Amino acid sequence: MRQLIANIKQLFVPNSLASTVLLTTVCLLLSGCQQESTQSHPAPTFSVQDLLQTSSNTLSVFYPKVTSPIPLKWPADHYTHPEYRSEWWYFTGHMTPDSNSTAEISSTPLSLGFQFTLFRQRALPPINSSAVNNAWQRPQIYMGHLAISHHQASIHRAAQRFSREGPGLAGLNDNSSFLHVLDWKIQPTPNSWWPVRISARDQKQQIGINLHLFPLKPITLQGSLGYSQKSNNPDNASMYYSYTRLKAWGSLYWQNQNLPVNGQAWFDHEWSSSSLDTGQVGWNWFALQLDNNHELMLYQIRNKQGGIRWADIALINENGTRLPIQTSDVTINTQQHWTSSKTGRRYPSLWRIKISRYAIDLEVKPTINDQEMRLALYYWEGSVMLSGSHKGKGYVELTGY
Amino acid sequence: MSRHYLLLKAISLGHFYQHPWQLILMWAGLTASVTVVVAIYLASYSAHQNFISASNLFIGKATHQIRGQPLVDEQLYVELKQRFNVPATPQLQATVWDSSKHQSYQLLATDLLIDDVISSTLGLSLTTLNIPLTQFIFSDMPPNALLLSSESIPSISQQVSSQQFSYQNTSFHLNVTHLRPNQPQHNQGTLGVDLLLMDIGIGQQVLNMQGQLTAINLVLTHDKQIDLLKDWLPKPYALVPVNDERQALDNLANAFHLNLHALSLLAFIIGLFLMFNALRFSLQQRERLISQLRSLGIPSKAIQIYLLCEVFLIASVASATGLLLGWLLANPLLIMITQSINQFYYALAHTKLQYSIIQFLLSWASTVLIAVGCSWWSITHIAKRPPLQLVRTSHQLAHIHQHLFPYWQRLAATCLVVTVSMIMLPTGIMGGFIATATGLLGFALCLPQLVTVISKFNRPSKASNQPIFIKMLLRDSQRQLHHTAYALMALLIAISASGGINLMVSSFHSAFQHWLQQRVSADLYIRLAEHSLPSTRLQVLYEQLATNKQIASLSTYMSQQILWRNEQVKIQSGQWSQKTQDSMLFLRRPSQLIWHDVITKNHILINEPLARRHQLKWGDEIKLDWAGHTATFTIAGVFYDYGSPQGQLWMQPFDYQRFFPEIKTKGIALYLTADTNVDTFIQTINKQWPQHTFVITQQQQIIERATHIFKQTFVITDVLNGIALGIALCAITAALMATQLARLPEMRLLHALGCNGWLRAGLLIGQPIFLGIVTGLFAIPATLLQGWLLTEVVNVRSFGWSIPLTPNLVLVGQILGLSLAAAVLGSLYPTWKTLHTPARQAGWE
Repeated sequence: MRQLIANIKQLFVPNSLASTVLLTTVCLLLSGCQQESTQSHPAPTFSVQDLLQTSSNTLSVFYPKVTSPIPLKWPADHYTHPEYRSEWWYFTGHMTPDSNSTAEISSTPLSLGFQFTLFRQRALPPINSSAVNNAWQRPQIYMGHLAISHHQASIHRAAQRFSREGPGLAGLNDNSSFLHVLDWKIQPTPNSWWPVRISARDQKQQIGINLHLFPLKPITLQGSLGYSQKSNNPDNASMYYSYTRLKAWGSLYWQNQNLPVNGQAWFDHEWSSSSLDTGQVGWNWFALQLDNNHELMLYQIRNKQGGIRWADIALINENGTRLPIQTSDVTINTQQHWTSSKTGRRYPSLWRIKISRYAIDLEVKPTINDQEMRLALYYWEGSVMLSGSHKGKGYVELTGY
Repeated sequence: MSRHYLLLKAISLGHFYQHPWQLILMWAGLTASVTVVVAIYLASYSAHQNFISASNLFIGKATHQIRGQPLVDEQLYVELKQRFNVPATPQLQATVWDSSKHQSYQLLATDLLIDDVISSTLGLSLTTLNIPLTQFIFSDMPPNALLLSSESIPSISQQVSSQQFSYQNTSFHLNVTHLRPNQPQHNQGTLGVDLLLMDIGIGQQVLNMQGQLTAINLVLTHDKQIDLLKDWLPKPYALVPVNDERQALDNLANAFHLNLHALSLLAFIIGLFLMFNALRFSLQQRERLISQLRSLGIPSKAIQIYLLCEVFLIASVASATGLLLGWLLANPLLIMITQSINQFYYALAHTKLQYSIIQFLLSWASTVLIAVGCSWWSITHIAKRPPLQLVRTSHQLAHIHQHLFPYWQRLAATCLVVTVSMIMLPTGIMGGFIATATGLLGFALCLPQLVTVISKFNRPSKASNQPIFIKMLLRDSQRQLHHTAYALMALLIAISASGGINLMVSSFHSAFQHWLQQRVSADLYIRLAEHSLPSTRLQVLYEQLATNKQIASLSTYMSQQILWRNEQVKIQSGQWSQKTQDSMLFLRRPSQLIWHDVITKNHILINEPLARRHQLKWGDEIKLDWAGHTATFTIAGVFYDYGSPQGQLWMQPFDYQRFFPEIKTKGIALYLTADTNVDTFIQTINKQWPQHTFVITQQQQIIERATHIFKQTFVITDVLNGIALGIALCAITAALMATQLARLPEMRLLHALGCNGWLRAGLLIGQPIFLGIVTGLFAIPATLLQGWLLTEVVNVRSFGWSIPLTPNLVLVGQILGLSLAAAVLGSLYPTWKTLHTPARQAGWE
């Protein structure tokens, strides 16, 4: 999903296709979508492929690009980078209730996965500094995605929020005390960011989160010191860092019940102005937490034929140090597929990941097959369980199918 | 079987070839009535749809609106979205002026990223337009506005041009893209106004309303949501149910539309009568022929089916013609209706005729079915009767007809009882119309018996010296009642209905004039020009004039609209001088007592329409709840108000201030001293202030204008009344002519027996004159009853206006004249015929 936003930039390219894509997305999202419903299965007005294809235009040159590692400062760089085109704050995790009084009939303990993402997209490049005459004309659009997967019940629900920044509808509030889109918020601790509180609720889907998070490991700068390249073109890159293991506690709201929960989470923050190359249609992204306190981040960007055009990998040890590894060290085989009965899209649904160098042989299996996000964009984002050489949990994102 | 139909067809066509006027009457009657009904229905329906379209434009799917006094802080919207995340959109709305085109536009600015009103307004998605949307929404770069006008020329569609507009004395430029709104297939949902559409950021800048909104549109589906919002909403803001408000506004015009439909129904019934009567007469004339056919062995079913097919064919053609003519008439009628609505109820700019093919098909089918249904009994009766019974003498028919009289009398009595019940009981507007209909019918059903009584009463004794002509006239009248009864009843109904309407209108006119002369008492009335700055200048003018020695006294006017008991009500106030207070006319209570209560006890005044609709009177209490303020007031008095059926309240300024803190003086009334020249005074004001700041109107101008508007609003009534009366008179004249023509064989017999032409002509003309006089005289009380019902019942229940009935001799003369004219005209042709036909010529007409 993080890559998706990097590529949504073309929505804001002032040409008819991108404008059509953006505004149609927005209109679909919001016209009657204040009560978002995945159950209504609105057909997307565009495909992820449409979003991802690069097109050349004159105004895109005015966006600042990530062309080399940018020195990062904390906590300032946890917040927004409004001059860049795209940005997102991405939380995923697995939670279990504090007590098993609400456990299902099954003997396995209750477990829920969550995904909470805040996206920012700039509509117009920063051509001149005095362009904005009115708060409503601030050219930032924010989108929020929330999904909860109830593993025992095999139910996955998702909701969204969408708003322009306007006079305080979304973005960073005046005293920088929180980042939000409407009523969904990321509330960092002032002057330090951590611990951070994330809160979001959708009454219609009967899902919600109210969690505090604190990192158990130091920051991981992806790519080269945070400079994460996406293709052979060095301008096609983002600044990308992760907190690969966080302690999470609070409550999840599910079907009219507030469940006190605790568990572990993963946090990504990425920003860029670049886009995917022509021919690149989507990606598979894995964020896996192994039971030996290691974490594995891996993404593959695919072309139209399904071939891998670009990939990156990061393996983090128990101390938070990145272990030396290259994409050639890893093999990923898709073992099964799943076809959505709602959209007809066919997604890979079982993988075998081998990293011989570190004796890793994992079977990665979704906890629920149907974790398709049927919002204005269609993609698959869901919790997975690991087995094989290591046990563990994680999240996988599949786009462009 | 087919041979029978061929024979029947030949006979039928032969009959209509010999008597084409019967066919014409049947066709014309139904055509005329369908024309009137369709024209009124289309015009009324279109006006209603135009209202819905125009209000949907700014409300869309919103169920509620948050409104401020007068504006809404945008931070309220932000907080609303963060707290509740209900479907809500911000809105800025204003009327702007294009001085180069001398045209006003409705400006609508909203969050174009989320407002789906746009797609319903445009008829297509914003994203399909060939404009850079991100620039359109987030920057001032051209284009920054869409101009939607049904008058936009296709060739400049989607072109960008720079236009200058003004709003409250500031002007601004917009780079507009011209668009024609999508025209849906059946011409429904078209735009009601010329619209300037833009993003909210642009709107705030050009209107100089940074940080402000005119309203927040909300879609609230649960009562719990509404309650939560009401509890949270800060004091100066109000949560208004726009559906209720729109419904209240719509309901204002309901009575108006109902009156129109009642008129059209009258026309329809009369047209149907014309057709029915012509058919009945045609069947009567063919009785002998049918009898012969039955004797020859043609089954009754064949005759019945054929005659029904004949009616079906005529009705089909007539209905189709009527639909076409009605459609043509609907457009000018819509313009008149829209003008009336604009004068009385709300601003409706658009006059687009809206209709669908399905509506036309249904109308056609309904009309044909009704016509066939009405003819069913007559046709079945004649087709199934044994042949011998079809051949009856006139005497036998008259004898049969006599047996109907008791039933008619009972029916008449029932009608009059129903009329009284509808008046006494709270039966609403429909009850009022039922009372008028049953009243007319009751009188009409008494007419044949009245003619019989008069004929018998004047029947002389055996030793009488009464001339034979008079004897023949009276006996003939009674004998011919089985032919003339229906026509006479229809004549009475038509004349009484028309006369009643005229009586109501003339009474209304008198009352209105009296009220207007009293109410518009000041020498000058001043208000701000439409595109001038608001209250500050008017307030400054007021303070200047207060010390002017040429002014004897002056008054100020303020007003606001609120929703009260699901009705749009105008709250008025102001500093009123004694003369202005004296100009008010009150019901029942003396003016001094009323004003004493208002000034000393903070009571309020309400207008008569509001009082009637809610059964309020002096001494009752009403509770006002608006924008967090609640107050209960006692009614000091009810004032006459013929200016509008909208409910109005008047309260003291400090009570008004509690509800509307942002007091705005909207007008000033000046009473000049006797030695002040009005024109000079006006010039003095105009010199001191920039041009076109104020609109200054003299007393006489207002009276003339109001009178003109009054007359305009009744143009529709007059037109429809005239059409209905015209149809009726034609129908009745034709019916009477038919009966007179049927008497031509009798006249030939009289001729052969030696009666001269004068006697024969006298009989033919004398009978209608006699019947016309009786009908006319009997129509006078019927007309007075109608007039009374329309003023005291229908008008009061529809609009809330009570009007004193003021009959006059001219009306009496009109009734008698029309009655005589209709009766006599029908005899002219038969009289001419009888004078020019030799006695030996056989056959009937």
